[in-house]
Amino acid sequence: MRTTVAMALTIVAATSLVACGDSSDEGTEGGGRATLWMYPIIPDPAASEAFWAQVETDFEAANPGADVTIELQPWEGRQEKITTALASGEGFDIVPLGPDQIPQYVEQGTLAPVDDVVEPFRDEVLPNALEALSVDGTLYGVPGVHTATLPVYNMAALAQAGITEPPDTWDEIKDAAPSLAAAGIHVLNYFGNPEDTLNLTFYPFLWQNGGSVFSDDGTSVAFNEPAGVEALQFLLDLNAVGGLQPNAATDKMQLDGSAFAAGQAAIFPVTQLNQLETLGQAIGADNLVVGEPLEGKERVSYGQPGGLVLAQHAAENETAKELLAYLSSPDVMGEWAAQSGNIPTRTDVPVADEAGDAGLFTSSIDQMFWGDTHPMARQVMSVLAPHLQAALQGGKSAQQALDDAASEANALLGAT
Amino acid sequence: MARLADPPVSRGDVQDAGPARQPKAPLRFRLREPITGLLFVLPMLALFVVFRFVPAFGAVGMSFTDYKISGEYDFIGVDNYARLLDDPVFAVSLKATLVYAAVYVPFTVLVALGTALLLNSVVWGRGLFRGMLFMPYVTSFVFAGLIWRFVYEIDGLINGLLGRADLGPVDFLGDTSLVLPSLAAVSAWKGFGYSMLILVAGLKAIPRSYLEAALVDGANAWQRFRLVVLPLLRPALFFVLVIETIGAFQVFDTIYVMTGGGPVRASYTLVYALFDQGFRFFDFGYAATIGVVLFAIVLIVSLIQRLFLDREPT
Repeated sequence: MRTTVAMALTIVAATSLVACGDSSDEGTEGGGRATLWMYPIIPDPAASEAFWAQVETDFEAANPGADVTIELQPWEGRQEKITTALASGEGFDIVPLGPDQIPQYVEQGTLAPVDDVVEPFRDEVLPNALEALSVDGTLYGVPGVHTATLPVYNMAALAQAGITEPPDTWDEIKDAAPSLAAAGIHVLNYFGNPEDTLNLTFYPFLWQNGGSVFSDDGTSVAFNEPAGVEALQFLLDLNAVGGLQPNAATDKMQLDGSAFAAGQAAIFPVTQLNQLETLGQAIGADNLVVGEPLEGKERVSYGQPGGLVLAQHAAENETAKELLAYLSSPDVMGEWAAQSGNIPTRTDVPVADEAGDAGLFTSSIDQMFWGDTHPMARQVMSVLAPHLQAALQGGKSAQQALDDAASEANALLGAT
Repeated sequence: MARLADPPVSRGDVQDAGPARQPKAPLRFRLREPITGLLFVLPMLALFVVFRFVPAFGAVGMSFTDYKISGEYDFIGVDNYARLLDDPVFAVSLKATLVYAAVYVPFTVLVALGTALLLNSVVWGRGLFRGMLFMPYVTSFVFAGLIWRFVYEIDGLINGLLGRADLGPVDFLGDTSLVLPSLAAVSAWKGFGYSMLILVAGLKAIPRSYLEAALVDGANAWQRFRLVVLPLLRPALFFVLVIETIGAFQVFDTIYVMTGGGPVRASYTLVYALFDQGFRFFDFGYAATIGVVLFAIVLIVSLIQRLFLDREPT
């Protein structure tokens, strides 16, 4: 029995040691260490891994004593992982966030200002990138690469309905929808899955019609005003004549499995240059034409400067700040933009292939809107999405759906 | 220690014998075995306390606060619970969860029971079949969700087959009345393997002689199942029912991957609402409140199940 007790104690002690064995303080704050969580902004996994490994090596070579870790994370579960990391003060020092995600974290006191990082090259940064990544005049994101969402057209599909010019205004799209539907083609590829960002689905139509998600003072939502109702009605009218794919209300945003890739839709929103390659392989590169943003009352689309934000727990981490500056240096940003198919946010970085599609994406940057930078922007999106689904499925009128969503969203904003 | 040759003693004999005939061992000897056992389970117990009990109690505490990511909070009493009562989205998610559980639990238990009975009757290749049937259980939810999305899509596998019979298409994940049964079927496919193994073990524990005796008495297959197998399988069935019910109330992954809670919140379950409130709305206090209510519901349902099912077979 004595042996048994001794054995039990040994196991307990050993287990405790194992449990404690990895508990040494490996915090990234100070000590020349910094951790960056990076996402598949460069979509090709091999290219992404190689690029970020090189960045890590080059930075450490240029900064002796610095020890940086660049962890490649998947898009899946991004929000909860970032939230958990910020709540616990562990995980990363730097992470890329969009302009409409930053205010909510600023409000929670989990991000540190980065004005001092950008100060030396502020004049070289696109002014709208600085504006988009600021909250109440304080910069919280070091501008990285800029996205632009542009419509691409399947010219072969359009030709089946006798259309030779890409329809790029609401009126032209409305006119094209019935004839395309008669040929078995949907004019728009729309994605209504509530997990997809409305920045790429409903909001561009809202902005094109002069609408806004929030009221000017931000105390209530404004998407249920006439501009919003007309924008949703535009989509419902298209849906009624077969202008959207049958599962548009629930379809998840994807390239390969999309109606467009299957040759069943004529217009698709592309967010990165290298998506053109995938779609070109699906429907034939010669059939693919990139257009300007669609035009309602305004010609506008969604495009955002990604911001590299600094966690509050790393506010005094000089290595993290040096890494931020390094990531936004012209050489790194130029290569990052080229590999990811995005646009550099520095004016002193040359654009690769200016005469081609890259030039088209770059020149459209003034027509891009980065979304409503309200602390509750993402939450309101979650509330609105199911009501848009209801309208697209015929369960509610445009006005009813948006009013119901507004009622819920205003309650969320505390503006009932 | 009693020897084999000792005559059996009656309860009265033992009582009469008294402590004089069975002198108690010293306390330290009597405690040695329990303490040893306790020491063996201590590491697991410690982990359980740290990672289960503490967070659970923490969540209860958090439900009385307006906890923020930064760690700041104020006690707000029962405000979060009062808010639940007036929250239409909570009502929608509660209804979706109950409907999902009502479809998923009986379906999964029946499939698990059916496959367990089949496996029990298989003479050759039982291990192979068991492994094949168990395989979905070890498949990742994300992977399973992606496969089943393809199966359910408008131009997916099922609609392709229906199309050949001039039927459909059916929007399994887009129809508000079909989405929960469709998701329940995916979860059942994914999860029945575990329950099946429990039930197979339960079937193995039924003495063959009982079934043979019933056969001799002229009982047909249905009667043997209903009057012999089912009563003796009741403890295993109770366990399966409880874990599947808990699983049904905690469903999240399948929905997250396949529908995002839609369409029109038709698959927006309680855990999805909890996830949204916590990780999207940063309202951790309210999210914890939903968690506490979910815990209470699961506890009550489990107690009711115990009341009706966890009895010794008569």
